[in-house]
Amino acid sequence: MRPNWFKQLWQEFKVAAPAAMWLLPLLTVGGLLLLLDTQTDESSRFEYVAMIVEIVFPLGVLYVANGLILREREKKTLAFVAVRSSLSILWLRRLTAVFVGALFCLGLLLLVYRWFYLSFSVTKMLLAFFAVALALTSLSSMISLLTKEMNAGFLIGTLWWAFSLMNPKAMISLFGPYLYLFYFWFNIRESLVLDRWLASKFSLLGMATVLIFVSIQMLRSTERFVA
Amino acid sequence: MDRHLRTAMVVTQYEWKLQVRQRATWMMACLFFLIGWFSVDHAQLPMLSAIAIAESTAQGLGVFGSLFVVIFGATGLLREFGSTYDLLWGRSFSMWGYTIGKCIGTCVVIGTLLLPVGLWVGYWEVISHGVQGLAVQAVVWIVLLIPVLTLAVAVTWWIGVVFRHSVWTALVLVLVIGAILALQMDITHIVGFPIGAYVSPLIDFGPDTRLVKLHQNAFLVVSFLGLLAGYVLFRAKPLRLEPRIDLVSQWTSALLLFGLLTLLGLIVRQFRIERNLLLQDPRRTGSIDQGMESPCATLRSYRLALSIDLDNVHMEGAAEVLLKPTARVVQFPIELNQGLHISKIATNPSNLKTELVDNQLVLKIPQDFVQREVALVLEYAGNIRISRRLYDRQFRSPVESLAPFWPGGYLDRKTVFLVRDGNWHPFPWCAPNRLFVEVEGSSGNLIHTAGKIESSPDRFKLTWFQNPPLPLIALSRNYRMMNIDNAKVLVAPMHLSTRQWKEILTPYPVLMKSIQEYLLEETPPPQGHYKIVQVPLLKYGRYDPGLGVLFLKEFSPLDFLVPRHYVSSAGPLHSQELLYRRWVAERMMRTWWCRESICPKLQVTSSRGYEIGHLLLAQPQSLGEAEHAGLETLDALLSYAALRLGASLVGDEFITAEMSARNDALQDEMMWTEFLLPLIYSPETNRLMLRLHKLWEMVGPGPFWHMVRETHRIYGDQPVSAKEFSDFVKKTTGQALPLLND
Repeated sequence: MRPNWFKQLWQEFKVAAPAAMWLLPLLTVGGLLLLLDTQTDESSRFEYVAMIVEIVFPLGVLYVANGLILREREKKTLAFVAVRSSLSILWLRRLTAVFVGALFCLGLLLLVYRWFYLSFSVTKMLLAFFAVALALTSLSSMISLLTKEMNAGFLIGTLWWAFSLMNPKAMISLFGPYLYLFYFWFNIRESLVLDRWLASKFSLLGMATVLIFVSIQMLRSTERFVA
Repeated sequence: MDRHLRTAMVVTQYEWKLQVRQRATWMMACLFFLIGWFSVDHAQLPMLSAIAIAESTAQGLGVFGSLFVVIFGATGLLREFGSTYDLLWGRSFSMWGYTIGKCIGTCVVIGTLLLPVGLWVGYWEVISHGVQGLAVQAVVWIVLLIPVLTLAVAVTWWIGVVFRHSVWTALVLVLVIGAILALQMDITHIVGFPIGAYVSPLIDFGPDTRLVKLHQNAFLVVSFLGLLAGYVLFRAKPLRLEPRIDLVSQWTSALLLFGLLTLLGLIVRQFRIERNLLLQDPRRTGSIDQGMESPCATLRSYRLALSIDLDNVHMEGAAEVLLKPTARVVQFPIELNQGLHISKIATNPSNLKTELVDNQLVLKIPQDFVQREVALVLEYAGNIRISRRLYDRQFRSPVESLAPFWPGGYLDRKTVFLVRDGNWHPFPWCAPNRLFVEVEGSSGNLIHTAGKIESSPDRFKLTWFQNPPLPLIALSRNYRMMNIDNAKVLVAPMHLSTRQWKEILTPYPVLMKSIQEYLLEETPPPQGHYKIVQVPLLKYGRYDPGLGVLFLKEFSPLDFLVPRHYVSSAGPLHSQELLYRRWVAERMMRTWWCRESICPKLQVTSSRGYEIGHLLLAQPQSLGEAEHAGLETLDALLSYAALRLGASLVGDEFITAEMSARNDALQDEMMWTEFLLPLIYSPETNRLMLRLHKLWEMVGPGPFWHMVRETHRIYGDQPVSAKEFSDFVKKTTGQALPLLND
């Protein structure tokens, strides 16, 4: 029997990140408030859109995606799911489900913005969100898996997010422009050129890939029930 | 009550034990440590005051710590709300005890996590400032950090009870706090109440006790409010099997909430009232600066006698004025500090009628005495009141940062200083002909410019027989007197080594000697040592070349540091030491130029400037281009003269490099940011300075300095156009000001 991927993803989504079922739609609806903005300056509008895409949504995803495996570990129910599936596959599946859901919600919001607020490339913005969210999530997940506590991941992820938001110049000088999270938002705010956005986002994706790989290795070492 | 207390204690203990066993908790301790570490500039750490170290770490920990506390608190405070804790709620226990225990437990854990960074900060405090540094750290952290973190815990509890979900709670609060901090939203403007506390150490001022106490009480009330609101919500929708809140408790809670909100409102209101009182400008309306005519020309004589009692922090003054009225009604504006009050007005002849209306003294003179000399004596007493905006950067606007210090003096039990132009006497814009000051107190650590001093063990008297200079008297038992080369120096104790003090202060006596040599032909050199005193609250130096007394404006030991990245480049223009001397020469030149009366438009270099370390010589857009118009010529002359004045300090190579840099800056504006030189961003000034440099090379130092002296004598601080100046140069030196192409 061929697996129904959509049904499976939906299950993973519901079980692993129930908060996301409310949070992502709520963020989407909340983002519609931006349509009340009456100013006509395009760069300010772009800045606000970048804020939603790079700052707000990824934080939400960080908070729902951090405990995809660890919530069940902390509730001591991990053993049940680990019997059916490898933990690393399970985690990746859940991560995919969360990101598909997030991309879907954000995509809807961006389409509304495109039609009613500002003209921009939706694909570019989705890529920007994906890179930032994956980088944040992968880092916090890795820390959480390393320490076996969700809070640790929350702390580190929030620290990186907050520092990038409050002191962008320090972060850029510390980690370089390619690993700075909020490329669009910062460059628009400082009226700089956006020519290196693709390199920046792919750098973040590259970093996220490495961190996900490390996380998988850590999960594999805890496999017990899968043959 | 025992049951509640026991529950609270057990919950607190349990919470602490559970949390300290978790890895995330100790990760938070490491993050606190890292934040504390990065909150301080380690290169400047040995020179920071105890309060500065404690304040910067507390602010960093407060900002990021509140985010961590929210995440940490959301998980810990709402742990038992999870479904696996049903057994806990199966039996009733003290809700009050549980709520208070949870919050206190969380606070105790946070306190534990602050231990590593607290110990590190304490270590630096003790190393730099001795054991008293620890006390300073404790006070500053209690004032700044603890209220913010406890408020974060209380708000987390309150919001957590609303959402009953740790992820939601943490997310909402992180977004709100992040937005406030990132967008630099000052929500205090909405309610007029500062979220962060403040410390303003200056002489014996210290923190403003009353305001800080109100502020702390407000935080306490808000924390209680958060706790109570959370408890009420918790009981309103209880978990599982515990009893719902009964009617009596509901009403009690509602009354308590209302009471706390009222109390908070009263505290905020009282805070605003007291702060507004402190912010009141002691300068009254209708003063001379608002376009009124100066009465000085009508005064034939103006004598002052002042008596200062240090122990009682009290002064009494008598201003004796002689005038020859030309009309039957004469009006003078009076500007006396709000802490001083006129107690008596005596006239000679006695039948003159006097009236004080707002800030005007009205004299009604009988017809017989018109065109005859009459005398007036105003007696006043009190203490100089200094509004907070004059000494606390938090409250003063950019313009106020540059305005002269209007009170012109300060008095407390250990310190007194006076400068001539201050509203400690009724006509601050008029220079007295004679001044007599008597101080009850020891004359140790005293610097003055009086012509005569009579001292005894418990009092001393100073007399200025002729027009007193701008600096008058500075005495402080807090300060430290030392000898630096041929200067006697009185400075605030800043825990610097003698070598560091020498670096900071050595340029001054050298420049004072150069001024004597080049700019003061007819003034005899001062007897004995030069005297330099650092006087807080002043924005501009006051200099008396006759007696060699310099009142330096307030500064911190970091003023002489250039940014680290800047000194990494090679060349004299990137040398920290030489640049510092260059800027000191600039400051001294302008201080000398404005030695008879303060001229802020020149003593601020221009409408834009640069920072060296913490030395702000000019504030962007604060004076405004219009106000500075016409002074570019004088700016150029002063800047070039300063460069030559400090030639022995910076060397010929520096002079050549500066001129080359100014030439490059004419071609390429990007060079403005390359060099930390005075006024290099002004093409007009650069052009003129290059022309003056050519003039120097043509005529030599003698005629050049003669030209500078004459310019000061003729023009003072008045604007002069480039053409007019060019003609003046030709007249005084015999040589036309060369063009750049020559």
